[in-house]
Amino acid sequence: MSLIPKPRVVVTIHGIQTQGKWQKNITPYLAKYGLVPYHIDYGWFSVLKFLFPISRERQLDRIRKELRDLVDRAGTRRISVIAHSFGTFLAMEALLRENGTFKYDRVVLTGSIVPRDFDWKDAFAKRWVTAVRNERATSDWVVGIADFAAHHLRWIFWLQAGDSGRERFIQEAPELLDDFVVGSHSETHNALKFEQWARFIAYPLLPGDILERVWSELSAFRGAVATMLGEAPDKVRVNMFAPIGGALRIVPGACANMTYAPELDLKIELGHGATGAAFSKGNPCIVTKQGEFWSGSSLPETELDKLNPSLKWVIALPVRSASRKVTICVINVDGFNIPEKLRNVISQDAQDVAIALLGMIVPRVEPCLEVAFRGEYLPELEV
Amino acid sequence: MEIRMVPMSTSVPADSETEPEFVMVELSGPFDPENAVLRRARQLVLESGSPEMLESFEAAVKSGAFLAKATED
Repeated sequence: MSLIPKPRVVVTIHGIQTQGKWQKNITPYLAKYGLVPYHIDYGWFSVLKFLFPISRERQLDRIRKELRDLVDRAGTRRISVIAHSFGTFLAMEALLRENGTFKYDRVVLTGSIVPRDFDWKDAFAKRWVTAVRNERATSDWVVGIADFAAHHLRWIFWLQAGDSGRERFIQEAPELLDDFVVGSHSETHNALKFEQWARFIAYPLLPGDILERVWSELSAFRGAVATMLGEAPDKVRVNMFAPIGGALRIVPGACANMTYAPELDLKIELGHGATGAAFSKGNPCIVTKQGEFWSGSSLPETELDKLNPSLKWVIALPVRSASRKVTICVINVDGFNIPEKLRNVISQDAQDVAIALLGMIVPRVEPCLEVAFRGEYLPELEV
Repeated sequence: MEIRMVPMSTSVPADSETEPEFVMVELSGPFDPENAVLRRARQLVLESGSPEMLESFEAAVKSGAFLAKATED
């Protein structure tokens, strides 16, 4: 059993006729969010090698092996990817041909030559990919050549490629994000983009500006809940759990009045306890502690031991993404005295409280999390 | 729209008189903004004394967003 969260590895793959200087430049931006960069460097790869099916396939085989070895050694099956040009072809072909041996978390495609009719919906449905940002450049003639070779000279080059680095993918999905710059094949490689990609990949870890807003909302929520339930504010706490490293964990910094350190390392499996049940069922859950024990809790002892011994009740509120129709996190409100309305958790009072709390917090937090999901920035206040 | 409490405690037998201590608030059926539970919940939000929270609650009821699962089922 390992208590260490799985590492969040970000593989970068460069394109042809380059040694991928951008890969080295992006490293500090990834490191800033605790991501582990792994730069694939297969050396200078000429246009001829790219067009020639045998050398292209040989390179693809090498990448597949390298990625298989990487996930084995890193102890995770899901990695994130930032790829450019031929690197986008290698990344997506490797994913399809490995048929689930490894999966991608978040993918950034730049100067993409992946076919525009790529079946993203299938990839999302199979959970082979969590989310994608396609970073296009409107004057990218290089991807146009790949598209031409794939569609008009296929009998020579046997190439499955397209110009998705210039034009949008045909399919649309909330997990398939699209952005563009006016420019050519490598114009997306700049510091502003690097920061945005790192934010995108780091999700559900929240960047400082969004975390500040979320924390502020959770704190205000805590105060309102305390008033509503007739509790002292210091007896009520709020925290946000999201899938991190293969389990539900507290999003670093997204909590209010959580002063008992062991709880910050809680690791909750789907379906376990009120938090895990709320996440997997998509419904609020209420649990109270009567005497020394948590009734019906399926949390393992290692996790129960981390709970503040004074904790007496928890209401777990699932937050669903309006666009993606999936539960994205659970906000827990809990406390040290069981409020009158929660004395009997199956009562109408308890039901009303859970519904009230859900309505109070979800609209305040969900939009922030959606912005973070896309790697974007909250709108600035305009006066 | 139906909102019901589902006991989650495996340790409490169904015929036991002991009150469950772990429940799920299950939402199902088409969303109904006039549901009695929502009306009572709104009253509770008013008791929080926070106009911002009331505004959020009203927005959630209007859009049905916070009960999305009910509308999707």
